[in-house]
Amino acid sequence: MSEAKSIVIVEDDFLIAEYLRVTCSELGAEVLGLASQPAEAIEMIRQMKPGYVLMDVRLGGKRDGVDVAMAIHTINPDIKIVFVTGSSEPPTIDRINMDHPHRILIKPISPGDLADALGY
Amino acid sequence: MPINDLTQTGASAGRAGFLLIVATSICILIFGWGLGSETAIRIRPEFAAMVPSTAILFLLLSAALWAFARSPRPNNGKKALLVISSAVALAALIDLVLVVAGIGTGLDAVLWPGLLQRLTDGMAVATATCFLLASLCALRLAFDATSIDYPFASMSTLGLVLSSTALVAYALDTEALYGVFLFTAMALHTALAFAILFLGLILVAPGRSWMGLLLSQKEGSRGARRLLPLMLFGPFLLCLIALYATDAGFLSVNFRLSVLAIVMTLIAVTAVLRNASIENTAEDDMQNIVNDLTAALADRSLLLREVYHRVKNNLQQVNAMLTIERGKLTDPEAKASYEAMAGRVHALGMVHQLLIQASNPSDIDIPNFFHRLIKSISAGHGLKSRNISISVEAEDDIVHLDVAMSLGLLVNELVANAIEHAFEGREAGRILVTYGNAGPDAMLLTVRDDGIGLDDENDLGTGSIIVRSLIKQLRGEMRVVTDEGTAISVVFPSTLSEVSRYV
Repeated sequence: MSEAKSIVIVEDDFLIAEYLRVTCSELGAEVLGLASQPAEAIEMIRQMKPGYVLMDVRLGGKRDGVDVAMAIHTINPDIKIVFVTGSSEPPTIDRINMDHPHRILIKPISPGDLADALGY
Repeated sequence: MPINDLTQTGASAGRAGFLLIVATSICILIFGWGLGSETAIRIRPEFAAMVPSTAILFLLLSAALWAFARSPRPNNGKKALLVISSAVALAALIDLVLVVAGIGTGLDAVLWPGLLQRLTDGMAVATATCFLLASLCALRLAFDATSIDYPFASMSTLGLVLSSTALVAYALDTEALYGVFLFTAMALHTALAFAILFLGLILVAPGRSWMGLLLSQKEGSRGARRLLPLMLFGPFLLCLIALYATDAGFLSVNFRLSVLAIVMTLIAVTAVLRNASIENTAEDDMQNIVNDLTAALADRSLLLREVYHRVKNNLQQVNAMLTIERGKLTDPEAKASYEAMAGRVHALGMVHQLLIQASNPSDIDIPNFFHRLIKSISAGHGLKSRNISISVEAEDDIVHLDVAMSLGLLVNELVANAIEHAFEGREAGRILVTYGNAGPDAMLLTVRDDGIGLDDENDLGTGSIIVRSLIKQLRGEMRVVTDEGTAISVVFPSTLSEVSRYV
């Protein structure tokens, strides 16, 4: 497949979001946009229809990444969601698994982890 | 008053009591005054009679109370209760006036004098008083109460005491009871009915009086319930025994009083001591819990400081490795990059250092932080030799550690940029960092220099992605003004500290 993978990054820490953007670009993927809040994220993903979403679980509000993922999957069930979380504790993992994730990455994320998750 | 099984049972019992009174009054009216049964009217020939007015008032008031108490949303019942209670109160008042004024024996003498058989038959003063008390309580019931209703509690308790007094007197010495003007003509079943009525009133609204204390599930109430039978019936039984003992010749009349006094004192003192013991145990339990909590809190603070310490160490290690790598490089631009990185890592480390020392392990004092940061930056860049001075004017403010991290990194970036680019070709320079309020909910951070100024906003160098990210993190807006140097201002909401990102 020569078509570049398209990615939307949902992350509420802006520095980490930039890190992910740079790392994805270096892998050859196309980053379509960055969102930091649930509503913004759902709208952006709906409009841009990326192949992948890098989804931070904690978004600092009432709704979290899993809520966003579930909302997206009702519209586009094919989008592959790579969850990014700082916690490897069972409650968090269980919650993420509610939305049949493509992959779960635990922070800190190395470029190798990311490449693997995106299928490079 | 939290509802529990006991309060439900109590309320049902109260309602059953009302119904019982309704039934009994109907019987007394029909069998007693209608069909002439002496037993129904006065139970024993030498006792006082329950006159028709009394029976009717009992019937009306109890029926109204029963109807009101049984529906959860008593709106219809409320109006009926108000009307009937007022009517009963009025009747009782009229009777009181009549009796006290000496016009016959009260209402019945006026309304149906032919029915009455004896001169003493009539609504007793105590009876009328009790009806007054009961109807006033019923009136108060019609209006909601969220806590103790002192008028209700005192009136219903008084009524209970009056009727109990009559009952006890009937048990111990009926003649003596009739000697008291208050109680002459209060029939036995009248007294009993009043006791049930007042008890019912208290039970259907336990939150308004001391009944709530009895019915609660807490330890104190349970203890009270255990003790209650003894305290309720103990004195009465004691007096009964003393009475029989005197009649049988074992006890002289006056010594009887001493015995009663001593025994009742003993019972009371025992109850008081037992209560003291229960309260002491409760206090000990409370103290243990407080101790556990205090220890847990101290542990948490200690743990946090340990974590910050480790993070600070890790950041120092990162800086160490950056410095080592920098040593291997020859390209000055690359070396400058590593130095810039070291500066950023150092700023983060400083936040953790301050957190370790802070009294509240999640807040940072801004003036202190900025002063130390600037001092460190000055020393790091050798600014004394370059004649560049940096000063800080920061208003007192304490922010959440997340906000402090972003602000610290931002100040570090902007100041480093100024040092790097603002004074090319200049002999000396000044940089000023200010921080303070900028309106009701906004804070303003400004880094100003008197250097050569910027060509356009995008000339901030490679640090600009970082700067913009940090500003977005602060949900802030940036403004750049070039005028005898450069002033970069960032406005951000002051409520940021109240919202912690990493919940």
